[in-house]
Amino acid sequence: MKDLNHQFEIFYNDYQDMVTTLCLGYSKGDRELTNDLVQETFLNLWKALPKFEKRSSPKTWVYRICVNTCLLHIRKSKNKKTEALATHHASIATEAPSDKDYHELYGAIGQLKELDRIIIMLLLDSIPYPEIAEITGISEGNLRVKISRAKRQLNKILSHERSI
Amino acid sequence: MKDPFEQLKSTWQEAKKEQTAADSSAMLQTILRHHGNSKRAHLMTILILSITALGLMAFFYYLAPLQTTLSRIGIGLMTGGLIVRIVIELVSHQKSIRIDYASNSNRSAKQAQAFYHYRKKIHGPVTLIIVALYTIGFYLLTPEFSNYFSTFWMWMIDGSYLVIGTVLFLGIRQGVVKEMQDLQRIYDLQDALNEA
Repeated sequence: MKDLNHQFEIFYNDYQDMVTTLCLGYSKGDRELTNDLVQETFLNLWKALPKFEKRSSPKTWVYRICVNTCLLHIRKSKNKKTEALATHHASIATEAPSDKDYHELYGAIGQLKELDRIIIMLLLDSIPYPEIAEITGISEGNLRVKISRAKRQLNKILSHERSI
Repeated sequence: MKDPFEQLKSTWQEAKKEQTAADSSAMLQTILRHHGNSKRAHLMTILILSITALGLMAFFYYLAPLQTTLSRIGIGLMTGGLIVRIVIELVSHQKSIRIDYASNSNRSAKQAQAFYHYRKKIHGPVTLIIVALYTIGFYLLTPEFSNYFSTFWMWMIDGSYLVIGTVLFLGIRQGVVKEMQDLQRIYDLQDALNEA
């Protein structure tokens, strides 16, 4: 158990920024939902840790858990608040001082459909196509079609927003 | 001029760098507590249902041993329904923990779909049959009960069951609607994963 918890902490320290950014993008910048998603992702990761085989890279493995947690997340009642973190860290995704700078980023990504949003975010994180295909379970050919369509849509959104 | 996607990419990397890291041991404590809470909540549901079933059995065995065959069938239907409900709860929990989040999205979505399909079946005909049998069982006790209670109290007992039944029905219905929306979301996700 101690080993498992230690392993968890390593995963957390290495990938928490990646997970938080992906969850923020998925939730269109909604901090409360992001906290829910990040906690759920790490809970799912902790549960899956004993079965982690080093067949895929740890990064891809964490991405798979995070992407599935986001896609399968069932929005809970608004009254059910995110569980506060045990120490002085009241939440993971605290309002960063320069948060407003990223409104355009999250706003544009947020206008895409859920799956397209995930694919675009993986692409923004410079994940190669074969790895995105492995994470999502979409064939590479199909993925290329989706990526070019999502990119086109994203460019349209961005140019529209900048023209306003 | 820089490609808008490339611009977005560099903003993304900046956003990533700015994420403040919460303490890993704090996160570990939080998820362990969360895990413990959900396990306890599941056990509590099983416990409440089991105590209700045992309480019913004990009540009719020790305190009010009803004599007629009709009443005994009624008790059987009521306790039987509760036992089936407990088994369903256990199976449902097992199915929900079988969703593998470390798998690819296509496979995970299929597993989630199977789980919600099961829930759909449970919420539909199975729950209706359980509630109907429980209700029939309850009213089968009425003839023998009427030997011991006045007409006024019989009206009160039968009437209160109707009120409780209506409240329960509305509560269950709300849950069903929510879960069916969740199932629809997973169908849509599966379609999106497979469409070209």
